[in-house]
Amino acid sequence: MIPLLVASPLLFAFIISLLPALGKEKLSKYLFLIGAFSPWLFISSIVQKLPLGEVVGGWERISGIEVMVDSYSLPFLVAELLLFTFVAVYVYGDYYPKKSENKVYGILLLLHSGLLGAFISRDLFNYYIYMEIASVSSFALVAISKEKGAKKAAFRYALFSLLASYIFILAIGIIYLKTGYLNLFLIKENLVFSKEINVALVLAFSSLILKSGVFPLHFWLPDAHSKADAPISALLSGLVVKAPAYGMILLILTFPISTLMQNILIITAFLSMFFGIAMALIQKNSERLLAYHTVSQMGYVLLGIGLLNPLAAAYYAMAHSLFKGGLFLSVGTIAEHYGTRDLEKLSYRHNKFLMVAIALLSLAIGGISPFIGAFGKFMLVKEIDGLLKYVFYAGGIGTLTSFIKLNYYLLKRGEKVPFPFKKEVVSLSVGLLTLITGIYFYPHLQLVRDLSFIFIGFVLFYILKKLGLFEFQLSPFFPDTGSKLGREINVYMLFLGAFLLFILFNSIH
Amino acid sequence: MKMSLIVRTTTKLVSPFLVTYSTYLMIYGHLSPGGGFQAGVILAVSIILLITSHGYKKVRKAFKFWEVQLIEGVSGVFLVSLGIISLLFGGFFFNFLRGGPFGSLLSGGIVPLFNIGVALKVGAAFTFMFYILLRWVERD
Amino acid sequence: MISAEFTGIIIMLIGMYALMTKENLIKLVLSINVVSIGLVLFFIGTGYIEGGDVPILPRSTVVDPLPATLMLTTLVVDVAITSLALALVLKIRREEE
Repeated sequence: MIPLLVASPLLFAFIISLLPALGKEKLSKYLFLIGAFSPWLFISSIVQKLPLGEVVGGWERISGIEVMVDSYSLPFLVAELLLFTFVAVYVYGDYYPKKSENKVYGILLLLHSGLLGAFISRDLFNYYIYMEIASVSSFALVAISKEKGAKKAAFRYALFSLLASYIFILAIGIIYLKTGYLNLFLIKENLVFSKEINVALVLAFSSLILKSGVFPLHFWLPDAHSKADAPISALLSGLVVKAPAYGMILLILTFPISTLMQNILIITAFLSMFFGIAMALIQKNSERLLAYHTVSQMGYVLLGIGLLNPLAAAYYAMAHSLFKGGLFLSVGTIAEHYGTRDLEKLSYRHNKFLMVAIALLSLAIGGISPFIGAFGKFMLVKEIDGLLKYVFYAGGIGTLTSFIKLNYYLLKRGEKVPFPFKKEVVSLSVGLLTLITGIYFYPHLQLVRDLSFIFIGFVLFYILKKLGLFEFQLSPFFPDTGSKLGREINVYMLFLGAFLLFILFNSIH
Repeated sequence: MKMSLIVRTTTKLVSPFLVTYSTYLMIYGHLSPGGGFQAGVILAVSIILLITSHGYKKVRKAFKFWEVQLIEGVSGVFLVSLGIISLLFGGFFFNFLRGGPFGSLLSGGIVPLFNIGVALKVGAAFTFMFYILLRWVERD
Repeated sequence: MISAEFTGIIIMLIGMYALMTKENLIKLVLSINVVSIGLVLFFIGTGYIEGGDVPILPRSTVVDPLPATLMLTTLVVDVAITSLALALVLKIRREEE
């Protein structure tokens, strides 16, 4: 019953790719909607029988592929189904022109089944294959966009993601050489610790850090996520960067992690949090601001993994999917209908729905109770104590400051542009969903702490505005010409090589 | 610029034998080296050989665009529905045709059917990819 | 005899060196293919047993057939991404003219 979650969108994707040969391209819209909603039929019968595991095909565990749904993978699955449903309703109908509509629907359904397959697998190679299906679909979706530098961003994303996948398979190969199994349950039973497995774990974690966009290896993320169309950016930032986080949770559930590696993960997580907020404060492009916030929030998920608390990381990942997806949908709608992404020209003053939606989502990402962001942060904070707790709260205040800046720019008066009703309703419902799920999980209200955070956020915002930080022009690192793309890739690859050597030498001695 | 007469005649003679070889690899994939992906690649090569020696437009008239797309779609649907149908007999992709003398063709169950589906899909996909990449180059 | 795992890692390092120094976009795509070939060689070397027999109706101990099967899947992924990257390079060049 569990593999049917993956098989039903795949079946509809193949039927959609069959239709142009028969001449019936008009039916592809309806098949896309059915294919996007079909996993909901199976999930209700699975949720009642948690934890549920089976081996595909009825074979033994030693010779089959195991899939499992339990309390670690359920937050990811629920977030994926909810966000994909809303994006499917957003894209349905008239978003893409009739010429390329068929192909986009097929690739979107392939992305759906790839992500679902990655989140239910408990076998190392099976997880890699489904993550690759999702990644290849997302390269194609980024390249379709009509922005100016989209194809170069897609090329850079493809090259780095592929190299990280090869390093991940090298780590799987070393683990297979030492233990002889690929199934995680059997590896945990027969594990004998040695130095080579330590090297394999370091390689696997570095490649998953590159694929999920945490600070030192984040260079592909701002371009790829900001130059894609609005619903595609919502899917990319919300779901595709969560699949490597699930892989890291699988690794820490199976192998014992040394204290040195835990410290490296925690330091990287804190650096990523503050780097993302600092770069977001000086951005003028609305979608690049949200992409740098993805870098910062993935630092929170890595912090949960570094503290060996996989349940907190899973719930924070679910929270981040919901509010980042909603933010990209609403801000992207405004940007596309005004025709520009520059923050100074956008405004939401004439659309009450979008104003309420963006206000709700900004409160959610800042960690104000009773939204779902507060639940995620509450589960993470339980294990930190001492000085690190104040650093953690400072990150929350920084996020609030940056979103006060976003709302300040959007409140200015602009010209009135009519929005389609459907897009406003979708954005508002994602905003309300963060409130409802927050109340469901964590029905406490901490007014004093949250109001003081908002107050400190406003104070910081006025200080930075007086200092003139927002007029600071950051001239881009490399000019946007094609002959320099090779040189850019060389520099980033040197950086990646230096990072790998540094981490490997530190963990062998 | 056309290739010489010897090249064009030889590829026309060799190409059907490549299709035979790929069919053998497809069907006996569970008893000897071979299998779905390898058979599909050779099936695609037998058409690409004709493209490089005769030119793209002539081969497009013989193996039309929509025919290749139809083969690819139908074999994809066949593969996934094979898995879903075997759900009625046990698990997903449960081998319900198992049994038969050891070393013969029927002992694999649904494995030869799976190999045929994969080979047709891979062959059609590679041919399709070549059609699309050559369509851009020919326009230059 | 030279072991296959060691050779595989050296070929991967050669591929990564080419990624760091070459500027032409098609050479970058080809060096990713070199990295993947080194990886396949490393993986197949992990299954080798001294004096092992072919795993079809064997008579004595066999060479492990699982890494070869996994590497088929990896090759398929590599071919798909190479073709997508080459199509992207064509479109980038066309956009500049």
